[in-house]
Amino acid sequence: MTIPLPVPSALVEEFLAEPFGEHSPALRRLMLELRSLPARGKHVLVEVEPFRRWRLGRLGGPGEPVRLLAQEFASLEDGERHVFRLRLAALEAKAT
Amino acid sequence: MKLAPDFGVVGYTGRWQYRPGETVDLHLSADAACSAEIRLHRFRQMTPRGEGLDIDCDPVATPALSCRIEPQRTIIGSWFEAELAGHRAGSGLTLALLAMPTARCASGSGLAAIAARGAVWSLWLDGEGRPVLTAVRDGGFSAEAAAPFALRLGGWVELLFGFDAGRGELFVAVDDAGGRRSFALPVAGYDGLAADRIWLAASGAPEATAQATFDGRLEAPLLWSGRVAADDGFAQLRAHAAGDAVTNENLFAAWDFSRSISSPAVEDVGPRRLDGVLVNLPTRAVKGSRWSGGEQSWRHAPRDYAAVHFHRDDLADARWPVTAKLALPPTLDSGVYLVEIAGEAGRETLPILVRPATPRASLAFLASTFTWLAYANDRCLLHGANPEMFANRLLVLTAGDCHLAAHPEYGLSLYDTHCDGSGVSYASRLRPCITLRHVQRAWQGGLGSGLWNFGADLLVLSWLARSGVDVDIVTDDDLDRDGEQALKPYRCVLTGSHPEYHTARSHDAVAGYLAGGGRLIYLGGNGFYWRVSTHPAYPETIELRRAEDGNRSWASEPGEYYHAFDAAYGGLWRRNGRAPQKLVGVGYCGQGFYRSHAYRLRPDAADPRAAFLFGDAVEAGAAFGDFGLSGGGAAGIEIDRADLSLGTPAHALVLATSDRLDDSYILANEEVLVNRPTVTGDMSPLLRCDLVFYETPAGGAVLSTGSVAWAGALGDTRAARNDVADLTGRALRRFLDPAPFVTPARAR
Repeated sequence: MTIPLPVPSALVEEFLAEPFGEHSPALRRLMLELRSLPARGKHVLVEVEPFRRWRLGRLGGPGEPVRLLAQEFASLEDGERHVFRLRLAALEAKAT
Repeated sequence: MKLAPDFGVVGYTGRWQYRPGETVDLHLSADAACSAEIRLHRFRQMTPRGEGLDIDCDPVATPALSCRIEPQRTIIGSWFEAELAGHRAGSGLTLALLAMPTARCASGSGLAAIAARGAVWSLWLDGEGRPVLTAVRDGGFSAEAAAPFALRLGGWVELLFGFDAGRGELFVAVDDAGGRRSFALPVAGYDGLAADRIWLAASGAPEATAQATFDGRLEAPLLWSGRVAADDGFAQLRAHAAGDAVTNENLFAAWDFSRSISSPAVEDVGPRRLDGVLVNLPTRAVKGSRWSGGEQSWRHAPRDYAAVHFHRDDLADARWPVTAKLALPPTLDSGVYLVEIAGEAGRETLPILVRPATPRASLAFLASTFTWLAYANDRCLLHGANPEMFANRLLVLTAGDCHLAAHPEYGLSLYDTHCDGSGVSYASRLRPCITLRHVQRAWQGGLGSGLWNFGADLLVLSWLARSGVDVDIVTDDDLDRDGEQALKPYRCVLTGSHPEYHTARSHDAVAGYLAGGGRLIYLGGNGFYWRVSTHPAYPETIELRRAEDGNRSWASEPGEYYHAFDAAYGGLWRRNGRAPQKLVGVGYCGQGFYRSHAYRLRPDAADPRAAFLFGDAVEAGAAFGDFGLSGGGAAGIEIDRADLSLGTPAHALVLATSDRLDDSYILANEEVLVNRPTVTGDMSPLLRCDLVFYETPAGGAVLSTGSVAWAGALGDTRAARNDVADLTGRALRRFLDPAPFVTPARAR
């Protein structure tokens, strides 16, 4: 299954509606692609207050600290949505 | 969460387990020097509150204890060292050895150093792999130059290095498969010195300068007084590597890494017996330059395994001084305790386990101290092979994870790889183990609480506390040391959520306990899976080889499947002929780290033998455990299956099995001969979680849940009715009842 680019808006909406939902095969395929980035520089969520608040971060290389970014989220779902948009934009930019 | 560490103060305890009345050595460091108060708390229970977790602890009355904490430096990286008594002043010397560098580092890789009355001559490799000669006297820089050639990675070369007193120069010569290169550096002002110490895999005294920075293998170091001509030196090096005696009147030392492989000792077979020592656990029992492939075990062909693999990120002992000693009250009950260290620089909270002075309860909780250690400082989420793919969601880092990322000097876990890509075979408790904290959570814990290993096991202890059940804590280490005697006093033994790693002795102890009529509730998944070893010369440490097969974050090299500690064949217990199904009725079949699922009762649940669990009104197909703190179900994360062909007893009842899994679950490698697209949880019939019960011939019994997520459901107090806790409670009552279990006639 290849990923059509730009990514169909139905897939984007499906993810944004329920980041932890039961996803369609096409969305699952897309998510595998978006999650297949190398560790260095990869986006992660960093707990600000356990179970309540998270901050966007990027992994360093081995032995390097995690770099904290500005965005904060009040739910894990919002963090997923934000990183999904970032990765989607990067994927589509790479293809053009 | 209560008593959460902020890592402004960090530390470790001398052991993870104590008896009442013993003294806990606290090795502490702080971001800035500070004074701190030390308090002891008894862990009672952890319960869900909203989306979070509540921790309930009681203070323990102890005499007031305070201390001064200074920032500590951790010397990471392994090396060899020996004293050089008897070297004649002013004669110079020549070192020969075989070397195989496996990584380059921009800041350099120390290969060898010789100290002589305050001067140090060293050989190191720069970021391009070029040998660099350095001479330093009394701490000040003197001379340094890089050779105009480089050593290649991954291949053995022969090396000569030394100080020529006659010419006043440092020299290095390299023979790479017959190609010779040499280089010399004139250095003035080093006359009349006698060498007194040598280091390998370091470019100076590591204690002074933290320069144990070599990644690669070394073999057959030889040392002569005076300068030895290259032809002669290389010829003698080859003889020494082949195991032949080197007889040269100037021979000073001849260290042989093929001897005493299980220990940190290095024997000198030369005339002075200047035995050396390996520091920080470089890997032994690795293939040397002469490995033929004719034997796979170092015990059968030690000469084939005459090399030592050093890593700049090896760490066996952080060697922080003891900052404070906490005397445990002699009346302390068995349980989990939290040692709180609070000062201006911050707070650390170190868990310890207290075993009773003498067995007291009928029930023992077997704490998975080997598994907790195997995962200690797991950095896979920071730079591993994409755990986000397994997690099916973004990775969430805790404060502990961020602290770990910023502190590479705390060392690696058995899941990580060294910076040269080789797997980490040793894990030690003598260093900050940041993941062993009561508040730590991990991506492996699935959606929800994220509790994992120690944290998830606290849910089991929390449930016991709420149920009013007395329990003694026994550890994997106790089983390894005392065998089945450690379990014999107990009518029933309860495991934690993930008793994955076992030594032969701890495995034998469980088998022996069951053979003697013991009752075991295996309350987890992926148990009794990997073989590890311990060794008296390396306290608080385990060795692992990820040999042959299994879900592995790295793989041992061919020919290196046998442990250095005890020459045991490493890898899966299943590949050692001891599939977990033989021991506990179920065995690991796969994993998914996202959602967990419900169990569904099978017809066996209606068997009268299982009436103590389900009563008479059993409805086959009925679901239970569709909730929990670990992925939202009782069946999941890492899961086990019953399998007669792998040793599940024929009379075992498969009482329930997991409901449909999702496709984030993947079948374990060892279940697959030829890979195929049907290995996911929604397609593979081999990938399931079985709840199994059977009686043993000696009147005991086994109940196995086969699920890491069981503890997350057991500890979920949010449900109005917790059918997983009800079922576990009924099992425990029967297992604590002295009435013997009776094996059905057809099984006898």
